[in-house]
Amino acid sequence: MLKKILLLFAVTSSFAAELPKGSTQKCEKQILEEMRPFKSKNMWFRVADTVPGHKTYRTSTQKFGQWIELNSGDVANIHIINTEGIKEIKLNPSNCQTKISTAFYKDKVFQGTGPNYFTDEEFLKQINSKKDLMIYTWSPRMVYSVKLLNDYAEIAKKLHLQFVPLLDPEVNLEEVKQLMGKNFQFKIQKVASNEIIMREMITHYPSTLVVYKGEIIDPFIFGAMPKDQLEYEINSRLINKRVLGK
Amino acid sequence: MKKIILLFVFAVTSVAVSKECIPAKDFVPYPKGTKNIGMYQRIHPDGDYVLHSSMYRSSSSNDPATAVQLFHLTQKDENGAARVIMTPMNDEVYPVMTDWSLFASPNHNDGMRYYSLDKILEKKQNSSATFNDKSHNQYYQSVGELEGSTSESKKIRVTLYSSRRTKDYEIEYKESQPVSMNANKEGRICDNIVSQPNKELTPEKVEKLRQELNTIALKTSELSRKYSTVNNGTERERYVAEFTALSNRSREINSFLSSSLKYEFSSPVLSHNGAEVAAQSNAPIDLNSENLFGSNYTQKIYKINPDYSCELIEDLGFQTQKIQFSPPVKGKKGKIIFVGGHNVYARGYINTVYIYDRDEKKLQKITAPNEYMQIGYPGLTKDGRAIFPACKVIPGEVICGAAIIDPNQVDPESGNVIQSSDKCISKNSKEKSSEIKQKPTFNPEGSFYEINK
Repeated sequence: MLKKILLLFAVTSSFAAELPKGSTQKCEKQILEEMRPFKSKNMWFRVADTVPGHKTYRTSTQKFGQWIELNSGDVANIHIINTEGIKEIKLNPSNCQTKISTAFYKDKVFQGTGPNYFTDEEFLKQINSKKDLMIYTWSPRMVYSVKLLNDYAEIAKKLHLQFVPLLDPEVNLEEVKQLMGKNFQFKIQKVASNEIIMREMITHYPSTLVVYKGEIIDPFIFGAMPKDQLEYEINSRLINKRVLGK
Repeated sequence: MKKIILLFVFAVTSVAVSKECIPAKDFVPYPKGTKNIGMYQRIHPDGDYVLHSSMYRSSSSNDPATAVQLFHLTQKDENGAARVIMTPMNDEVYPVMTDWSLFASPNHNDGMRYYSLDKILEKKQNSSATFNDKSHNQYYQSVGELEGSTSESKKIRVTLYSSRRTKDYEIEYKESQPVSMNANKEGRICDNIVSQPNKELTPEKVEKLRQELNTIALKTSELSRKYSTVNNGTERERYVAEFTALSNRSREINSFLSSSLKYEFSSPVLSHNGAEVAAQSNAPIDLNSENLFGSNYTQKIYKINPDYSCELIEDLGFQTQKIQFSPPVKGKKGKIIFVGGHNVYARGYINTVYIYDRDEKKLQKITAPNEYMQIGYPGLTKDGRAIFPACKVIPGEVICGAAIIDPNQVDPESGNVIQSSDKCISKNSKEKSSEIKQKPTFNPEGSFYEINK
């Protein structure tokens, strides 16, 4: 029995929410309490501040595809984000009690089902199969992301990584077909994965993310680069895993 | 008494002038049918042109090709749309940002080509390059104009992406025409930032890995001995496989032990005067670690020293898309503009245009949620306007064009227009800004900015 209690304690405490290092948070205790059910991984990083004057942080959670965004400062609100939408939990900063919680908004989120969409479900399937992947986000609207598709695919092959090109979700398939022609050799799948979007991999094209034995290796590689440099960047991400087993 | 009256008249005139604000948010449409604005653009410092690079499918080739066009925002066609000027340039072109007198156009068969704005305006697609440099050519180039330019010679700095290779050129002018271009310095900027000791190499880890190398050496020599004594094919194959695995492991360990840690330095962009460079980097800094996945992979700004070494002077603390610097302002650090991540307040993944004031250390939004559908690279003009290509929905259709915003008249939190703003860019200031574009030489002291004060 004691063993079970200890185990339960260990499991729940491992999901205990923590605030980003160095952040100041209004209603700290209550915000941590509100975050707890969403099982933060506490791997916070900053994004461009949603409200100027406050600092905005993001973290992934134990639930694949679900992220938390926090505004740090004299406000007390969090957003839970997944491809179903965005849920806002807001506390009145003057008493830290009055709570307004919205349902998940459904609009303006990149969603999709079927073979033309790369969803969190599909991403998780690839992760669980322990595949080594090189995910490449691209857009027909960004010159080098188109011109370097073949080069990046070649490097993926050389490094024994499965090349997964993912299309800018704002672009329609007709636009791609018109530009790339009938002989386009790659599978066309649009980004519909929150894990990709929350990493800001659709803010700039191309962006490249390596997955090694089912583990996502952050940070992603920003922008285009020559083949030898790309190879170096990928190897430098893998070397810690391979040599030190980290 | 006369002085008081004069002062009064001046004050009244100033108030009257200050009311002549430019619109808080303006939009110059592109020709009808423009549905795709691409993503790479550069904004002219007077706000007269936008340079676009986008892809199209050429009928003469199987591969998609790049189209580089200039959109003239102040010379409109009969429908009120920006005039389009086709150019012979290639890929993502970067102008000398101070005055756009030259464009660096990469990846031609003879390397980086330099085209002059005058020629492009005159001969459009039939313009020929003024200079070219085969040995200093790559994508993500950026160009700054260094201090010390005169009307007879212009000093420019061109930095490439790969290994931050940089060349400083001197361009000689005769009768206002560029006649020669010579490199007087070459090297790599920020090497001291990018290559630093590998902190993973603690003495304990090094010792452990060296022991492993010794073990591998013993095992491989044992395998070689066994291999030479057996004739069985299957057994030999097993030895080869084992040997290969050990060799690979040995190579990995050796390369790890010999490495100094190379930090990333993505998307470097020079400031207009070439004295600073912005890049996304995870190079360690001694700041309170607001970390990205355990490292500080954030947008940083470095000062470039005369010997090309760099010093960190600013860390935004988060990642951005590629940034653009504002034109220099005497005695000030100036501003930067960029497209930030996806704004959850927009109830979705909507890009937002941000301006960061480096002197005030303040961030402001200039676009409201769901205001635009597509947003291209933004830029700042000398009089402080923000310009970026965008598409938006008007009843019944989608139009694309250039959004022109006066940040003074926008609420920094919501990105919406402030109805009764006490500050604005005056129309007068915009005219003056256009006037100075006639001056051919960039003055690093920032004299052009004083005109707009």
